Amino acid sequence: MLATVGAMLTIGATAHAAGVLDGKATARLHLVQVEGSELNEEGPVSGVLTGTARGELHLGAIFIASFTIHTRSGSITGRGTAIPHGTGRYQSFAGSFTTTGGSGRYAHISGRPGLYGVLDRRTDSVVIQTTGRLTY
Amino acid sequence: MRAMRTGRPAGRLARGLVVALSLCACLPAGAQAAPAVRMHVALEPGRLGRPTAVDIDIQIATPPPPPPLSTLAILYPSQLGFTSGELGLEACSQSELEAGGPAGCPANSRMGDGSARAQAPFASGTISETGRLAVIRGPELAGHTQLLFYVENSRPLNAQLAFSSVLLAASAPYEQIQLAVPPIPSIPEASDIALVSLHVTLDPSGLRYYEMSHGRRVAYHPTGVILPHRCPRGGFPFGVQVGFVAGARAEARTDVPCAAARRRR
Repeated sequence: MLATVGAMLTIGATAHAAGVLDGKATARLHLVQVEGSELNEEGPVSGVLTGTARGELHLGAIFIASFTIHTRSGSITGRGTAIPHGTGRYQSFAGSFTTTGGSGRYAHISGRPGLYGVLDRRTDSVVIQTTGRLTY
Repeated sequence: MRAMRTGRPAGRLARGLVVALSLCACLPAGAQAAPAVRMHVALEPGRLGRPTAVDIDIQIATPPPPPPLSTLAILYPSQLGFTSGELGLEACSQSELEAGGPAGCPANSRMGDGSARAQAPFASGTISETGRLAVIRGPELAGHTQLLFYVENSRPLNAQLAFSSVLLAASAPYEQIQLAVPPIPSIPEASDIALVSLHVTLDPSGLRYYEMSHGRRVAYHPTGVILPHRCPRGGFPFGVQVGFVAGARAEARTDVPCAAARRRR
């Protein structure tokens, strides 16, 4: 489990002139460190937002994620909760996340998009998707 | 969350107890004194930042007759994700467990083992029996992660009981495994059989999972509960909350010291 894993975080959103990101984002993260039930993960961000993401994912009765996406135009920080579903090696989760801050172009970003993902419990890699609307 | 009982258990357990009492079908005494619960937890090997087995012992102390339980919640630190690692990579359904016992479930659904002790109160005395316990990952239940506690008493009663539990959020710093304990009837007009102790080891050292590698089935020990690199102040907090059919409640808390974990590094 401690082995480093490839990760992907994909942000498939559309940037509008009015400062709106409205669309689907997908990301893949790889494990950096395990802290008990908390996984520290990072990986590249692709799509409209191109950059890197780093965050913590607490795996409990409820999954709690906090992460920061760094782009050339600024950073976006958010915190989300999700309910895990299913059993097996690949465990899905669904919930929402709320932006808690930003910098640069995204200094005033706000929104509460959906949060979805799949965790590989064997390797601790995680794929995260967000869908919804963010304004900045 | 719901409780279930296999098709055989209560009847066999009841009949066995009746036989053991040589047909002394006396009614239990009336009033019950306030019950108490004790808890002891050990982390083995308990090295910070490393996988560990979690050994939980719960003892319910009551003046006779022992009152039956209705609920039992095991509180554990949210830093220890009982299902965040590889424990319970597969699930076993209730029907599979009822039909074939733990052996009839996928090996990769085993999460722990232990023992459970039950008592049946009669006016002439109390019969006590200890059974083997297996903790099995069950299918998702009402949106929650489900663990099945399966108790098997092979001698002399040959009874089996399966309790369903779910993982729930709890007030910080805990999460909880919440069990609903079904009534375990003994003989007509006698009190139900009471669960008086529970010993659970999650992620025991002997646990073996299997995976296919290059066309071969390979055994391995799953990475289960991992301790964080830093201990919380005061240690890792655990607790137990017990509810009784008669309405009484009891709880206990204990902390596993950080010093013990550090010394083993």
